[in-house]
Amino acid sequence: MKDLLIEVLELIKELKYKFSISDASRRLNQSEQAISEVLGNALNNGYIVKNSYGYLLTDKGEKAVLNHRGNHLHNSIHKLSILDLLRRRFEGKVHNWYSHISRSHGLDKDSVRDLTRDLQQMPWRIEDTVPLVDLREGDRALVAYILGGRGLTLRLAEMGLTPNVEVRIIRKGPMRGPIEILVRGTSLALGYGVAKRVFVRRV
Amino acid sequence: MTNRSRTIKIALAGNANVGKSTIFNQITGLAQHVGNWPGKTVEKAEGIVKYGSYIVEVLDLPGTYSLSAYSEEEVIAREYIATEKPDIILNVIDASSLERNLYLTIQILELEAPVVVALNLIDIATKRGLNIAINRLSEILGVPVIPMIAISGQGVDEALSIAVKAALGEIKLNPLKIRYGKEVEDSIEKLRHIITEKASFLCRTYPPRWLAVKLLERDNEVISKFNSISEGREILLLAESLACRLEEVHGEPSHIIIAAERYALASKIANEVLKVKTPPTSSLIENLSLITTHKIWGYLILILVLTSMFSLIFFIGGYLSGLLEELLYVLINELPALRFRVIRGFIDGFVAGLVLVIPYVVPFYILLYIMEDSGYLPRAAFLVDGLMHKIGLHGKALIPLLLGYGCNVPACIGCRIMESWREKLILGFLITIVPCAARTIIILNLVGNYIGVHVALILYIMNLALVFAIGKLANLWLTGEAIGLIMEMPPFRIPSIKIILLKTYIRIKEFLYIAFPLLIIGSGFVNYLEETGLLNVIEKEFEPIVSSLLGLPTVTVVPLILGILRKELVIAMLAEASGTMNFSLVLTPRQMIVFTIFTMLYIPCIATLAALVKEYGVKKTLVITAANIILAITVSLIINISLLVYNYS
Repeated sequence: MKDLLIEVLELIKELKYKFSISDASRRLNQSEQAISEVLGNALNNGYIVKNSYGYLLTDKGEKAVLNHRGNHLHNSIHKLSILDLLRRRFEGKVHNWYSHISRSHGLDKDSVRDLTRDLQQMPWRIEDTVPLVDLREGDRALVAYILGGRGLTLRLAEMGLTPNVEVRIIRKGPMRGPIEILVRGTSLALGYGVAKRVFVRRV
Repeated sequence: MTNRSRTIKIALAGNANVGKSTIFNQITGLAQHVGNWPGKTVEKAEGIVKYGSYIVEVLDLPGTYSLSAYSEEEVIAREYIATEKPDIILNVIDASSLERNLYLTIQILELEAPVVVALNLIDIATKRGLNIAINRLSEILGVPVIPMIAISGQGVDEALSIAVKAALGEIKLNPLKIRYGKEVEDSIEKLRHIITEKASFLCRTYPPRWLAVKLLERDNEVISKFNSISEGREILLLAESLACRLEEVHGEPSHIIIAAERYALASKIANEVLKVKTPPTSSLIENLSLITTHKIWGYLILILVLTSMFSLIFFIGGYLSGLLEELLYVLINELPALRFRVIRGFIDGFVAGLVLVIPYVVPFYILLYIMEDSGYLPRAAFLVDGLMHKIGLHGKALIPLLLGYGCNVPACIGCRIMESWREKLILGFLITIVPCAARTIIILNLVGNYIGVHVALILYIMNLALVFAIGKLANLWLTGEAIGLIMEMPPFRIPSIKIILLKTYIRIKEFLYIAFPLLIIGSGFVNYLEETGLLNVIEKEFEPIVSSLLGLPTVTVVPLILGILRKELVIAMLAEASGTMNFSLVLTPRQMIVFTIFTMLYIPCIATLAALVKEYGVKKTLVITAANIILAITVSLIINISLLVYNYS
């Protein structure tokens, strides 16, 4: 129930007034009745408001989406290595991904702020973004955001990895080796540690 | 022709791998000088050539992808452009990846520097099916654009002549004015206004608009410039509030917004001048690229390349080295001056340097430059990156590390390919632990001969484990984030023999200057110690460490001291000091093992020390040496005690 609520909120954020119950039911593979129920709940709990054009997220709704995106991001970093997975076991579920990311991933305050803004403004659902390392050879994707400090994000932007630029995976090195991508007509090899911090949307 | 002896300053700027140094070498040839930037470890290459009646000073700026304050190189490049104001910047760009290269061009134009563009690698662009409208590019940028194939020298003279003409004002430059989107542009204007008004001092050196852009990007270097002037605080506060507002509108950090807008411009220009013909479906270059990074073939090729490289250097080099040494001593032994031991020491040092450099270092550089210039090196780095990360390094560290097994000297010089100090330091230290050919001879001669080859092998494996463990420890101890690999994969090309020999010659010259004096003086000094009997005094000083701590006989002290000169001397000196070639008479098996381990680790030889000083400075060399000594004593002590505990004598 909770998950469906978030998915509906994400859809409203993405589609804004273009959101419709029938469309949502098709996209989320749920009955129209289930969607209406969730919408009713969301309205009652103040996640969304309705006007003559359609639905819009409230601040509370925005916050819920951001929180969901942060947690999702946190999970997708962790699913990458056994060591991180174990650490997560001991830590339990992360309640505050915001402080978690700054603490465990060594990002300074400014970088966390940048990341939060990136997440908040991202015009598609967080579920559509994957780290570069999850793509296969030949896949194409658009750069969504980069989980890293100012040095890394700036360096990558200067090598051409700016938001929404298209990248193509040329090849993946063996044994968690680097990933070679084509960006702006140039071949670039990114180490595994770098590539898992670059989040992209498949096209 | 008003001033006949006028000097024209030309600076070469461009990305790494665009053939910038090739152009520099083509222009200057042997008339160049390679040193460091004052107070920095970044290399500075300068050359002076005559062009007509003018003297042209050519300077090769460090290769950078940008002019932000991300790295030392970038700061050096932009400070040079802004403060030294060269007459012309020859911006070298790669025609086969125009968009990425124009990003730097845009930033040079923002510095309001006079630019001439050299469009290099047009042959590769053509092979990839890219056709560039050169006149249109020149029109858009408002500066001359000269097509070039630097490796064959095509277009180099033309570029030089156009650069000179532009410097003299015979060609008028009308450089493109870089403009951003509306919100960014409004912020820049507001800032520029207050900067021209209140920071006129800085505006004398830097273009006010550039300062404004850098403040919006939160560039640390520029911010600190404003912090040091009286009205800087007010400007910085305005800049911060403008940057924050931009970020609210765009939803990205300001430095990303500005980078993205520069790229949008670069992309627009590239799209306008590029005509993509259908590229050939499968070229030889593509196939070569595919096979050299293949999961199986790639590694087989890597092993093949490395083994042939090492056999070439160390078997042929070793043979030549022996031959050369014999030949030199035949000549030297005729000299009457040999009666004086100190002079003999000087000559020994000179010979040691010569037989090291010519057979080992020269072929090493030639092979390394072939690998580098052909584009194979990045492929090798790609294959081993995963493994190297485990010891806090990345793929590019492979070559220097493996090289250390042959000789530490070129390996230490090779460390400069690492980007950060952290990685350079880890790599440099690891290299000094790696047993070079000379130390391998000691291992085989003592342990291998008298105890068994299997024990020698165990020592070798132990050393490998030690390299890994130290790498991991250093990785934990040294602060700073381990830098991940971000590396361009340039296309394969056929290297130019002329350029490779030229680069090798420059490197060797540089090496001779630093290593020879040290080798000669050091060698003479040790002989002086021996002559005056001071060596015996030192022997007494070190005896407690060697005999009581490590359980070694006194006879090993002198060989160990002389081993600092050259590790090859250890065995010979041990034979001389103990008066026998049968070492089992003077050393027990336990002592042999401890002695070998200690020799393997204790102090880098004097040539390696010279290379370390050259690359790291005196302070860091001392740190590395101290760490070596501590490591050697600790490990030997542990082994000694454990062997004693197990009653192994």
